[in-house]
Amino acid sequence: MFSRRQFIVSASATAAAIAVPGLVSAETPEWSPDHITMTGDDEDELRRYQPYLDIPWADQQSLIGVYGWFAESEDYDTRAYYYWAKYNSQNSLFDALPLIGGLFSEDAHFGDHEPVIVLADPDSGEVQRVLYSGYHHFAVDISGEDMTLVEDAESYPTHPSLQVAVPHHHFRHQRDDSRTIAASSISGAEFGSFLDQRSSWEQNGVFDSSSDTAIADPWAMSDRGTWWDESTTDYQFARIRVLLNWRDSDHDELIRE
Amino acid sequence: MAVASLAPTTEPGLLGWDRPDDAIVHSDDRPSWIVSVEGDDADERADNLSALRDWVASANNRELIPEREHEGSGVATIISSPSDIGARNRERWLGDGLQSLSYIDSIELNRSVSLADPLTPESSSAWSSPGPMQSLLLSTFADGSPGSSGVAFDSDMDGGEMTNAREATSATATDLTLPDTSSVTVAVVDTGVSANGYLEDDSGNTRLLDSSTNFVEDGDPSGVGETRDGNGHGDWVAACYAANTDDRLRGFLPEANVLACKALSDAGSGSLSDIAAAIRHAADEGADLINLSLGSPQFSQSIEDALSYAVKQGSIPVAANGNDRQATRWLAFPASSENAIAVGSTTVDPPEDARSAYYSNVGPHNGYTDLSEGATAGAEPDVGAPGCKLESASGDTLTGTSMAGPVAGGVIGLYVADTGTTDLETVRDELTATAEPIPNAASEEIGAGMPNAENLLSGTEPDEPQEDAVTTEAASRGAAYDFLSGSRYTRLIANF
Repeated sequence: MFSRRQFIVSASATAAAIAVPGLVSAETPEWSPDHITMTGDDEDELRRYQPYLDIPWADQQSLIGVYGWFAESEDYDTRAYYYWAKYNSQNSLFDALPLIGGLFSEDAHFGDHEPVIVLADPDSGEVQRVLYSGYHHFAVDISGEDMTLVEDAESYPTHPSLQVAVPHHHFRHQRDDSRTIAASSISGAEFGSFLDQRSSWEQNGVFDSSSDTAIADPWAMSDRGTWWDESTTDYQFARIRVLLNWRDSDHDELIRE
Repeated sequence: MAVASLAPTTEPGLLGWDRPDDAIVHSDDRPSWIVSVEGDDADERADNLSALRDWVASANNRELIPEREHEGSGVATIISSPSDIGARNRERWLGDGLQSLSYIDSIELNRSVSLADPLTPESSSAWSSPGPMQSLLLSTFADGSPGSSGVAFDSDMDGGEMTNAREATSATATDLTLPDTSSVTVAVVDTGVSANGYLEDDSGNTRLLDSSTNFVEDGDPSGVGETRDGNGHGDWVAACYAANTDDRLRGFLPEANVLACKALSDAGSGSLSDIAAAIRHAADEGADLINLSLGSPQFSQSIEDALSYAVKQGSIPVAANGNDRQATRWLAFPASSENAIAVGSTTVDPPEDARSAYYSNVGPHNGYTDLSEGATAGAEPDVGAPGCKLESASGDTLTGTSMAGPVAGGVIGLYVADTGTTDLETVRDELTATAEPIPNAASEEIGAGMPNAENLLSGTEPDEPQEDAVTTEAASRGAAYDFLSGSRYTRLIANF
């Protein structure tokens, strides 16, 4: 049996090859877990599995960009495509509340950054699983079979069809894919590399209350169920919101429900 | 991070923050802030500026002013609410806002700075005496009194023309062989400089540089025609330095190039952000001297950082002491910066006859009334130069330390032309070592004395240093200023 690295080297001769010579980095970032053997941020490759979004006009205006990276692991048979949608956050009325304002303000530390992960079979290219922030950085996990996928440049469907929830910008499964557009085609929004953005986001505290594993290991989310670091008070506040069911009525089922 | 510069008027309560009157305010009632990022080298500063740009883009009510971003020194000016900055008490206590991020070095509220006209009193009868507590302390503990005797008031000022100022500083052809000054560039950070005829060379070409920039206008337009002075202050300064006229009104450096940096409006006010940008621009353009005939009673970290950058680039900042001795008393900022030559004002007389002007601010700075948290403590004038009723080729006869600064700067410019030296501390050492004493003034008023071009270019020290030449009357004033500036105890009492 081929190892993952052997596959990358040999696969360029096959029709379904995903790994494109020169587009991936043999050197993985220092923050990535040991089992990750390859990372990349080539835009063409990122476009292959980018989400298609049903997003209202007003929210398109606040969308700064969608930033992604992809990775392979010696422990998993899938290739991971990990995207973050970044919005410029709105001022909250709760901000004026002394001390407790942060309890009600949306995503005090994540800012307005919403993740989507696509796990695909590297041989067939088929989507195996899709995970996304379904409410306040708690994850929804849907199989490729059950997910509505849009077929675009490839000869098979690859793009998860998602609705951007108003006003908090988490995602819902959009079964009517005719309402969606490619994230990279949204006017005024950037489509690019998460690897280029990560340092700035970290410096600005975007991940202060998040799990390092959740950010660096796209395969971990199925078990974790949340992007939060459970030791933080921000997580506790978020958990309370879920338990009290302070949610949009049309939500998808979270892993942690 | 200097809390005072971040939020000088924080009030009690969780949300307490009251915007000061001189804050620069933009749309939606948002102030602007001058942000400096950490970084030991250019790459680290560039990374941190990138993070700052990301922070600005992450909310819909934040803006970055593109023209005020300076990668070399890691500085940007942004527009944002006080809560996002973290200026309010709540964010400070919770460690929120931009001020809490580790890559941020300093944040200063962008404020307006104005030219200060000399204040009253114009006659000794109106000179305000020390209060009863101060008088008691001075008479009990100090060796002197800050009295009016020996200080020059309006009626004591005969005034003069540029030729008199050059004679007082021994900067005439009869004193020395004047060097060719065409290699010298003087940046005038002021109300602008117009392309007047006296700034033309002998061939009729203007010596006002194309890189002259108007920092007051949106987009920072550059060019000879973009920096017109509608006030007269900047034109006066430029003429003092570089007017190429007949002997009566000729400047000190009649062949020098002038880089106009219009950072003050025609009304005479400008923002800290614009002034800091102008200083950096002057340094980047290779200015040998940067004239700063402006000041504020409040310390500015942003200006300090810009001056430090300029000095490292090989520029010599020259700053006016300030014109309100009777009010704020101590050197204005940036004269109180260690990165500038501080110049007090005297009458237009030779050193042996000159007197300290009533308005000219003094040292040693107490380092706390300017909210510098001690950064300016002990700052004193370096020299004193003619600045009373002085006429330049601009056609105006003006009074103030704004005029004394360019006179001293002119002497320094001759030294730069002669030696090519632009190291600030070397220049300061040589300038003060060769200055002629002014017996009627205390060193707290005029530093080492009056700059003397003949001495400076020949390396000649005066027969008698300032501290030995000073009269008893002037020494008494100086001792009083020393005492009033002194201990924390006397600082507290001085406020009674």
